Amino acid sequence: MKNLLRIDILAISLTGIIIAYANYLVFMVVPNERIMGAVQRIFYFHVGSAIACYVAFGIVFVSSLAYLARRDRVSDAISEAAAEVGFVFASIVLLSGMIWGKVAWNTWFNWEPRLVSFLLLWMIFLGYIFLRAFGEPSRVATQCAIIGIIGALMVPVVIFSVKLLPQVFQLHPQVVEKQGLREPLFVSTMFYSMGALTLLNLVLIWLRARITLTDEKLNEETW
Amino acid sequence: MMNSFVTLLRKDLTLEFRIKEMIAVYLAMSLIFSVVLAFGISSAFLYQEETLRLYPAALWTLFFFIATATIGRSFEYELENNVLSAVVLTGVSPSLIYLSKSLSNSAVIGAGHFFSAVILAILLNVDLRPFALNLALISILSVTAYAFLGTLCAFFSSVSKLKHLLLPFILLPLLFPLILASLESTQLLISGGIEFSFGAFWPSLLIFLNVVYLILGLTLFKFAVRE
Amino acid sequence: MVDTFPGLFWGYTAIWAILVLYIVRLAIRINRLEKRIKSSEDSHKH
Repeated sequence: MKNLLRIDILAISLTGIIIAYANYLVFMVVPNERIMGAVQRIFYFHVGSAIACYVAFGIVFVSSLAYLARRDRVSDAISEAAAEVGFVFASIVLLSGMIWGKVAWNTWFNWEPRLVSFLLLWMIFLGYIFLRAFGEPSRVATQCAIIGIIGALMVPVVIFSVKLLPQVFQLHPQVVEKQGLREPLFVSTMFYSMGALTLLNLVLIWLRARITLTDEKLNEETW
Repeated sequence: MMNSFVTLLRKDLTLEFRIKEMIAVYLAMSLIFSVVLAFGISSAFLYQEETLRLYPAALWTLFFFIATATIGRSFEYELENNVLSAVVLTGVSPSLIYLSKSLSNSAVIGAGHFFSAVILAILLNVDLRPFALNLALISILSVTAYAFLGTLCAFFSSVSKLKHLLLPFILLPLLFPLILASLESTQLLISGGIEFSFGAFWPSLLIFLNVVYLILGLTLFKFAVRE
Repeated sequence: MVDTFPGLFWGYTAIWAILVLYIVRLAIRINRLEKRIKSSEDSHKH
């Protein structure tokens, strides 16, 4: 038990240090972007949260497969935790994207690929959470595993097909693809933010899963 | 195995067309909501070409809404008195149960969808004759893909606390690629001046989704039903 | 010219610090609960 607490504190401290450094880089080191100015800094949280969200989806997929194969509580708890945390990060992506859009281009929501695909991914997570909340308790683990697998498999289909929707104009900045990030400082700050938020994502999933398992053990004890 | 499948399919189709619950609800809702939609669209006083361009959006909005409202009841009779468990105990593969239920749902929803397509075309004064065959093919692909995933999710919602209220939340987000594919394929067909073919991206995506949803349903239904 | 935002930096640092401390508190509570459950399981076995 003491070892587990040590591991927890170590993981959280490491996450905290990387977050602190990324925070410092974003607000105190990186210069303003030439075209968008100061508001471009939201990009570091926005992209980092998007990566964390994809990682969460991946974890939902793998743990759902593991649950169907092994029927163990741990896989189900990880799946539930990853969906909840992924949902939070997807919400952050949507909100930060909308704020960035409003400030930079005076529009809260534009029907362009990245925002639309994240909205759809957010709704897939929402469906999973609804099923978890309102499904039949004796069957919900299996049903959520099935929905988790289908949802995760739909992620690349959604992203790919939304990219090919007819567009009036491209609003989302093609920052990375179209050689926007020339300055090495921008690139390293982006990687530190991505790393920080992904680590935070993993720590939160780990703790949330343990809360579910502990809760179940406590309920067994009282009965 | 073929005999079991045919028997199950006959059972499901007989059940649907004898009781006529799903089909009656679908037809009635099609009529009502087509009228509401047509009111809304005609109040914008659009030109004929613009109404034609809006037709795919109206058609597929209607379809996904009404189909979701009706497919939720597809396992109602099987779950009463543990009939589904009894069928599984006979040794029939759950995948066959799923396949026969999906195909019977496709038949019912397809019939309803045909009706709503025609009603909507009449109310919006849209001439579908130049596109009839290709629109029928797009509709068949969309309806079957919908039924493959919808049947699986309808089972989940039937055994939940919220029953049919849960179905839109779990089904529709997973159907977004299908919604996009149906809409864009129909738009591609109707926009005119473009050579429509089933080799184009959106119609190919429809075919791909049929395959994907069917494989997922056949593979995963047995886990759901064995609880 | 480097643009710095000390106000935002300290504001976000405070928010992140609160979040990290909350997560540490959660971790300590979970470990305590797990320890109690384990000792209760062990006492039932004996």
